[in-house]
Amino acid sequence: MSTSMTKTYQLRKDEGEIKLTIIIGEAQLGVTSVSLENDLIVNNETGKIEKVIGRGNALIGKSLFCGSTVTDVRTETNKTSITYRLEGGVSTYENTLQETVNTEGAVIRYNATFFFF
Amino acid sequence: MNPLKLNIILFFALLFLISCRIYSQGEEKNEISFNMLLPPASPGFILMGKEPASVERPGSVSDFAVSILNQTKNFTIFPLNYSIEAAPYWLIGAPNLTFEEYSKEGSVGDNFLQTLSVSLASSTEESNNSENLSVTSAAAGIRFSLFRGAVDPKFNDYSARLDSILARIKFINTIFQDEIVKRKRNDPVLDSLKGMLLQPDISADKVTIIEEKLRLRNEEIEKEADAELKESFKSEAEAVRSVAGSLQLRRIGWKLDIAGAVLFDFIQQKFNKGEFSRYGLWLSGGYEWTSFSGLGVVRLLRDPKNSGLNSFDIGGRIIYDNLRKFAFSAEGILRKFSGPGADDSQWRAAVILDYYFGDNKKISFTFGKNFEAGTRFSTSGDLISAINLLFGFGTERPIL
Repeated sequence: MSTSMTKTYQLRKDEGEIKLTIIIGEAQLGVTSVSLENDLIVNNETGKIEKVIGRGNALIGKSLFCGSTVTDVRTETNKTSITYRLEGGVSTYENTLQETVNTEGAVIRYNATFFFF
Repeated sequence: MNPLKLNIILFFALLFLISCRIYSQGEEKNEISFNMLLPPASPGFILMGKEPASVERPGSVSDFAVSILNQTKNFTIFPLNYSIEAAPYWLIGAPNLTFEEYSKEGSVGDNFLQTLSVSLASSTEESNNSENLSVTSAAAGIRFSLFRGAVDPKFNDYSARLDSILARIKFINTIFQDEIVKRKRNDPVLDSLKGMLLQPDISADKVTIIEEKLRLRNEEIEKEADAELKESFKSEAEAVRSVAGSLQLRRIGWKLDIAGAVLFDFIQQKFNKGEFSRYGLWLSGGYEWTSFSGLGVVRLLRDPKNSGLNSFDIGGRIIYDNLRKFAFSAEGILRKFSGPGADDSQWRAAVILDYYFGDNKKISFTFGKNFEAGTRFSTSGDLISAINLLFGFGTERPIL
């Protein structure tokens, strides 16, 4: 039902902005919500999300939870994927999660959690 | 049992099983969904003179598709013509292509990448005499679109169906987001691990260990949330699947496809008697409205085996496809020859009935007159009576 990833992300502890990019790929239809600790900062947005989530020194010790729900609407493929990118910290992090569904119109959940330090 | 009879029995058993599947689909979904954007038949069939439609309809691609073509001959033979077609872009994966980018009218470069397909086709002409001069032809083909139109939001309630899907997946996403965030809030294990991450001068090895512990605890929490919301998810996901399964994307507007193929003949089905036989390049395109399409083709074929004989095709096709599961079309093509020993011009005219019997599957029946019999570009008789089964596997589970 769901695919999950967890990642720690090292900040530079300065005023630099931390930018989050999420791409629901394979031309599939999906929505994403993002919560920074308990605050909902992205609410059910579709497609590509680019969001500055805060400054490095303000994010230390916080966690970011990204929840996405994707459905297979493509005739060309049964693949679904989601790419996460974090920029502005010590290094840029990027990772793509991918799942292939068996049924046309199947719904799949993706969860990603980042811990800032 | 005679192998020929056995093959015929197997063929009809296959059709019977497909029919059973159609019936059961109808019972489950109360609606047989269909898709008119199947890829056209393999370009190799054009060179073999086996194509169901000579003026191909620019179509979508499936990451993998199979065609089985049967020149019926009163159903006395087992299908001898096959092709497989693959779309590299979709096979490799497109993690950066969003739904929104895909839906709009793309650039020529995007269209090329997203529609590029390569295919292999095989056809066998059985001999009717004692000399066993049967010929197996093998072709490699390529096809892509330069223009493919934009999504028609009104076709088959496309936009309304999308809105319905979006509403449901937003609901699913919200209940999971709320539940998981609630469970992670003030979780003592997570809080403790987060605190450990903040130790001054923490080593990379220690970060890795903590990250693994965070992952395990996260997955525990998410599994608990999955179990809590299992029933809600199941009912909503089923509703989404029902709508998404019948979602029919259709592009309207100007379309232009380029295709080409090369053909090798193997006399008496012996590999060492293989010879380069024909090659060709063609453009097909036109304008597609919601229910009507007007298409044309220009095609150059060269036959190096026959002293470099060239042929030039020009033709048109009209399609009416507002008949629920059917599409009806008629086409006419004029073929002119040039080069040494050029024959008079020839023509082909055919009517084609497509029946869409499930997601990404169709049967085409073609009847008409082919280019003249026994010519360099048409090795069989000039009567066209063919059934084409086309399966796109990219989005469909096995049908049997």
